[in-house]
Amino acid sequence: MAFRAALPHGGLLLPSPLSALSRLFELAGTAAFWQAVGNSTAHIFGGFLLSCALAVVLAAAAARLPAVRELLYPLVAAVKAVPVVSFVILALVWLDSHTLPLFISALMVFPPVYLNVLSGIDGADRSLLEMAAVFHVPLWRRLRGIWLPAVLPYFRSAVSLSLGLCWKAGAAAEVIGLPAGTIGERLYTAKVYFQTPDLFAWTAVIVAVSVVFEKLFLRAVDTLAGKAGR
Amino acid sequence: MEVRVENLCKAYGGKTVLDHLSFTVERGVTCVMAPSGSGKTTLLRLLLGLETPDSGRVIVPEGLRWAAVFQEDRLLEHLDALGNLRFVLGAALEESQARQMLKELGLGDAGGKPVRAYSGGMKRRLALCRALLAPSDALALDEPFTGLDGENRSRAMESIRRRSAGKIVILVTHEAASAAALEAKILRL
Repeated sequence: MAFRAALPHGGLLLPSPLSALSRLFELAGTAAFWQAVGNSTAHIFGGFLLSCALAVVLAAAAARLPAVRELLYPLVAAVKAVPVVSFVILALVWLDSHTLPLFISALMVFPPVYLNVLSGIDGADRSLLEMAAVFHVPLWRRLRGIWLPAVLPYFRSAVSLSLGLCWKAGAAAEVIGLPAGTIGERLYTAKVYFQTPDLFAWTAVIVAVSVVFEKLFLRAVDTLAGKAGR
Repeated sequence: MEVRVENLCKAYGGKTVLDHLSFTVERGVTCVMAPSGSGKTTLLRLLLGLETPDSGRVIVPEGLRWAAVFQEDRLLEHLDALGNLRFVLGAALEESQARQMLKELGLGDAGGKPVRAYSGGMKRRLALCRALLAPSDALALDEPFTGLDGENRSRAMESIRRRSAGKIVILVTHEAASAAALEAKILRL
């Protein structure tokens, strides 16, 4: 009763946790819910994976070629400083609404992963690399024995930081771009029709999916680190 | 087979470390002796191709394979002894031979412990084991007995004597006794 008294307008502005939870269970029983989760995951996690791959390749190139490092420095600085919404609006002009969240989440992931991986590569033990060169250790074994253990802790922390970030930015891009059958679209609809329990339910879904993907991805990174350590 | 050094010069920040150094080393143990800071390690780095001389040159036979014990141990701390040997030797590592060699050097009971748990002396012996097991024609050994007690020092010298037959061995040390025990030629810088 006390909780209800604190919620004017029958929970229109702030729904009770119970109503949000019951709405979440209702939604989870529909195919459209899972389709929205699947579509958003494909966009946002796809952007994350693409960006990770590109960031690792470019960090490796930048570590080897000073020209690449110099060239990327202003770009990375700009991506870090420019507000996400500016990129979203700009990207809306260039891209269709389904590609937008992929692009935006990729953009959010790139700077932390690129900069962290570059730090890891820069921090790799030069004396071990010299030793490997003297003993003519092949590249693959150097990668596994020296580079990977040096880079993985940095990569792990970048991934942990950027997965949450890319879900936040990706969902925002969906809300602005309104690609059909996505979490962002459902969030927007909930806002337009004042369906605040839906708003909270979808927000909880974003948090849950983000946490699940973070845990799964970090577990995969830890497994890789374990293999490199053998 | 010989390694020739001609008029080698190297300076760091205006300080001359090696000044027109020339010598030739052949198969067998050659001991480079000099006071601390007189360029012994720099000389080894130049021989191994890790530094470029300011002038002069190092002439080595085509395809000469070096193995080395560096001034620092340079081991992969997260791996165990066999892991470190496998990193360098790859599929060429014969485990039974490696275990035998580890035993010879008093590392038989090190087991699967990662190197980070080793004492300084154990790391030094593992670095030596790696250099002796790696396929090579020449060995560059920079103070390989540092941190070893009398018994382990004797073991290490015995292993070098036994496993370096037919190779060029350049041993950097400031201990005349080690050079004498290995019947090394002496090269004073």
